[in-house]
Amino acid sequence: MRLLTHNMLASNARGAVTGYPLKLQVVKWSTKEAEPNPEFLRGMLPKIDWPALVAATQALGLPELLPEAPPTDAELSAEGAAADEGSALRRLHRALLEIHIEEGALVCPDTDRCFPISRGVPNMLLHEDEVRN
Amino acid sequence: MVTHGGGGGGGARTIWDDEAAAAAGVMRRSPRCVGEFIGDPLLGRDIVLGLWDSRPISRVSLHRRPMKSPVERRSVVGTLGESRREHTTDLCGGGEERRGEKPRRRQRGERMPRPEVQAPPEIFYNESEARKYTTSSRIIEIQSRITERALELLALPNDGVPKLLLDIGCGSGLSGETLTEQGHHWIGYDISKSMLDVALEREAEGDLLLADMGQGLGLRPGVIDGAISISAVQWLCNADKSCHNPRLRLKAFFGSLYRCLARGARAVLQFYADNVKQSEMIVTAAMRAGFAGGVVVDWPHSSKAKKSYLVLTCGPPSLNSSLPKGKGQDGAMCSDDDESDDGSGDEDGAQTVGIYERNRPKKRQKTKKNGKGKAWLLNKKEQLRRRGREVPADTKYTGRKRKSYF
Repeated sequence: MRLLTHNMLASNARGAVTGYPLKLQVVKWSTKEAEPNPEFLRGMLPKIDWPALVAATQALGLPELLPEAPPTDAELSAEGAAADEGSALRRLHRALLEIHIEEGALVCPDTDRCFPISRGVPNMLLHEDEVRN
Repeated sequence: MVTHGGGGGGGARTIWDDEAAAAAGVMRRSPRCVGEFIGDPLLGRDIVLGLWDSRPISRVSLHRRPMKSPVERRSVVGTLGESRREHTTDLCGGGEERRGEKPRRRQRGERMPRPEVQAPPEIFYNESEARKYTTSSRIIEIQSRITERALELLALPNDGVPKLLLDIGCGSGLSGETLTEQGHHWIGYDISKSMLDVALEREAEGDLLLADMGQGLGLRPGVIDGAISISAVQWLCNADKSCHNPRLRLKAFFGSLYRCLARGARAVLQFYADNVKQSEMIVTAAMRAGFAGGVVVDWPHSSKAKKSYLVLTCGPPSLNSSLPKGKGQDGAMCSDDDESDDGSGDEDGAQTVGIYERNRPKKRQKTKKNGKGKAWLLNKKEQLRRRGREVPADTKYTGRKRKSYF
């Protein structure tokens, strides 16, 4: 699971108010190279919950990967940003799309319900008594 | 035991002929028929049960859904009444003895029952079923074809910018592969772990989630650019567990889908409804959640190629959110080999019959009254000659037109 998905995912167990952001417990993670796409990142940026993304990178043990404030549009569309290894674009790309969480868990902030991640797939199945209906 | 009327006198008799059984619509399995005949003039001609190879025979009708096995005691909503659940009960009786029996061989022409009536999705899509999705080229081709059509109906803006899409019921990631080919990022939902294992094996590009769509999608509001679902939504009509209520599950699914989609985003959900009631139930649930849109049916006259797509638009209806037209709705037939986009593959101006009110198109009538013509005849004679057959010589009389009074 990439951090992009983690950024979108919320818990919908009974008792969760927003169920967001899910706390990340990482046992194992990996990096898979992907082609950076500036247009996609620029389109996604308004939809990203930045504090949650920063918290996720800190849970991974990469506190210096992302700055406290989200990058501006100008920073992302700067000339040669895609090629420059340390640019804001490449950092965002790495955080959102290249880091894959393989083993670990997601914990609901409201109910402390734990959703285990195995082989990169979070198990979001709820028991009968946890379903909100 | 055969109860049979019209025989006249009462009392029990034994019939040894097959005709009475055949008259009752009982399928014949073996030449030996042993049945007890109880004549009762009041009962009418209705043979209910008979003995057939000392096994109870049940009435088998090919056009109906095959009888459910005693193992599935599941309720299916929409088969009987509006809000009524039909609990499948053991119709055959003696379920315990039949359980160990080998499953009856499917007759020629009999349909395979839909997966939805066989088992819950997490059970039905086990390892062997999931394996089919990587080994069967037919399944792969159908899946990718449906996905391409769904993407076409999704009508994403053609600006070359990748989108974040949902694939609900992604299974082994076949539909996701098509999304990846188009450059989009996707998040796949599925309830079957075996199918997701296959997707991991195939190295699906999207992120996979093991989740039940009937429990809600659990996504932040307004973040997804579009959603597709291939042959998944009809599963929500089943109540596989005692805690399942199809209406609530549909409501949870469509409600959470509506919330997570961005304004103006579309969702295209291909589904196989078992009957009209189910289809109505799905559409109603979608409309109640706030979606605009409707069902687009491709190839409505074909039993196999017919596909229903629920095309939903999030947000207020606008001028360009009109429902697209389904393929083959003008009565054109689709064949297996050609994916004719125009759908009008008529040769030499042969006319098709208007079929709007019919479920099934009539077979194309032969329109040539004059037979096959001289060229055909000469060609046929030439063929026979090449095979060494004795053929009359070609003369000016060969294949000539008869006089009208002939």
